[in-house]
Amino acid sequence: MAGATKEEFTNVLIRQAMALFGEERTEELRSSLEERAEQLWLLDQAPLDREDEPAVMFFP
Amino acid sequence: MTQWSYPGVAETAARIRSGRASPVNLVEICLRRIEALDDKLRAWATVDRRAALDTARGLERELEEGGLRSPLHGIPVGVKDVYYTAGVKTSAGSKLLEDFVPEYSATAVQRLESAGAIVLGKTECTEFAANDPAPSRNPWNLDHTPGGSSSGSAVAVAARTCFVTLDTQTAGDVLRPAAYCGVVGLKPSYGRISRHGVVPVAWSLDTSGVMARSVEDVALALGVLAGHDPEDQSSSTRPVSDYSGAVRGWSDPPTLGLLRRYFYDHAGEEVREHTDRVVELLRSAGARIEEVEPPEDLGLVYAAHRAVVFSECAAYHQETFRQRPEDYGPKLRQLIELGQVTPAVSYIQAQRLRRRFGRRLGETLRGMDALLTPTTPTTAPSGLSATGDRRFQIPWTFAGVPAINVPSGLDRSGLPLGIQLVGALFAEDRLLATAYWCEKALGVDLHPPVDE
Repeated sequence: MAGATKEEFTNVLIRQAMALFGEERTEELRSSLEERAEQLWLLDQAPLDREDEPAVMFFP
Repeated sequence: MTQWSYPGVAETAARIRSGRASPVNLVEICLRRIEALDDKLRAWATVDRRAALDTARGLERELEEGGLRSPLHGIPVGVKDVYYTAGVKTSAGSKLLEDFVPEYSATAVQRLESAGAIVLGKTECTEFAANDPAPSRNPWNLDHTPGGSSSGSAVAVAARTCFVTLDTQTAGDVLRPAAYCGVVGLKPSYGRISRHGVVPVAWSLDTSGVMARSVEDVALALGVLAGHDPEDQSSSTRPVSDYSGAVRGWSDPPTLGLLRRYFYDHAGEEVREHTDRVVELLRSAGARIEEVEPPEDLGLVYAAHRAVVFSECAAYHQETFRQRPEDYGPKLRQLIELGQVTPAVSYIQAQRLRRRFGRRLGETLRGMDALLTPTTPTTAPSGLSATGDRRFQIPWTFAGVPAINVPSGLDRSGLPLGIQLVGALFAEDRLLATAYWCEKALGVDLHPPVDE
């Protein structure tokens, strides 16, 4: 979702939640979904270098 | 009730060696204290009295025959209820595991037992070590949270119902309860202590840790627990240091980096003022302290950590959550649902940021013995429906570096305050030595009013 706005992140999460949990539960989760969307948008803005590889399950 | 002067592991071990203390007597004292206090404190999920006493008798016989396994020989300990314990219920604070009795013990538990520690039982934790609170209460004020997820462990150590506890941290699960309850809590480097046989929260973050009443005691426990475990894919093969030797051998005042930005922005006034006083006290004792900048936007680090925790936790619970959603508490349920809708790309970006943060943090720590921050934004909040703010502990868990809480005083309402020291990856020896120096310079020894 490179370059997506906060609202676009919110819409994606809400659509996903509607599909998985239904309308009633999505409404209950709305403020948390909006908070998550803001965090994911912030993460999307992070200026990472191409050389930055993920630390997935990093084994020291 | 049995009053107890509680000399700590090192001194008690010396008494055991010289025959002035007996493992059976120590276990009896701890059991009496649990019996007297636990109705109100709710630190313990399961106490195995008979097994603890039988083990103590066996260890006493070994002593009579001249055998001493380690400095933990005959020392009563507690184990957070996420660690598998053979033949003893392991529920992780969840209805889903209320009848689960593992057939084997976690590697870390086996190491404690091999070293001669006596496991009294399992300590309470939040549901699956996530956010739905444990029944435990803060021994400094029963109306305040003890923190979490290692809630019962912090209470058990603070109330002197055991000497050491074995715990886990995924966000701030060791250091925050340690700070709220006024005990020392260490989260070592990721991979330093095995997490084989531990109910997971998020595999790439879960780190085994310990709590005790002093830095020296924590160092002794780490010495027994640290080391490679082939059963744990994330277990480090790096050599284990002599942690208690490092603590005892240190004399020079440390060089510390004070992190005000982010921490002072989010801390309450009393915590800011207290931390400034601690800094002045440490400076006057000889520490070199300079203010440093966080190597990354820590708000961004927080967001990245949440993306990782939510995603991995949702993956672990996927099948069970589909089958038995009604058996999950509301906070864990929400965490799993939010994880289910977190995009894969966000998870990967978070892990990329994590690697960069770890690298930059290593550069910040170069030439320093440790970074210093307040451990928590405030002292333990009132109420038992939440476990407090984890944002001050998250960066270090995310980077995989060791961090320790050192109790540093009481606030105006009589609740414990603590400082957090953060070390370089796998430099636990240096971090513990620094923490020991700070502990001695501060001269704080906290006793909650549970015996009054």
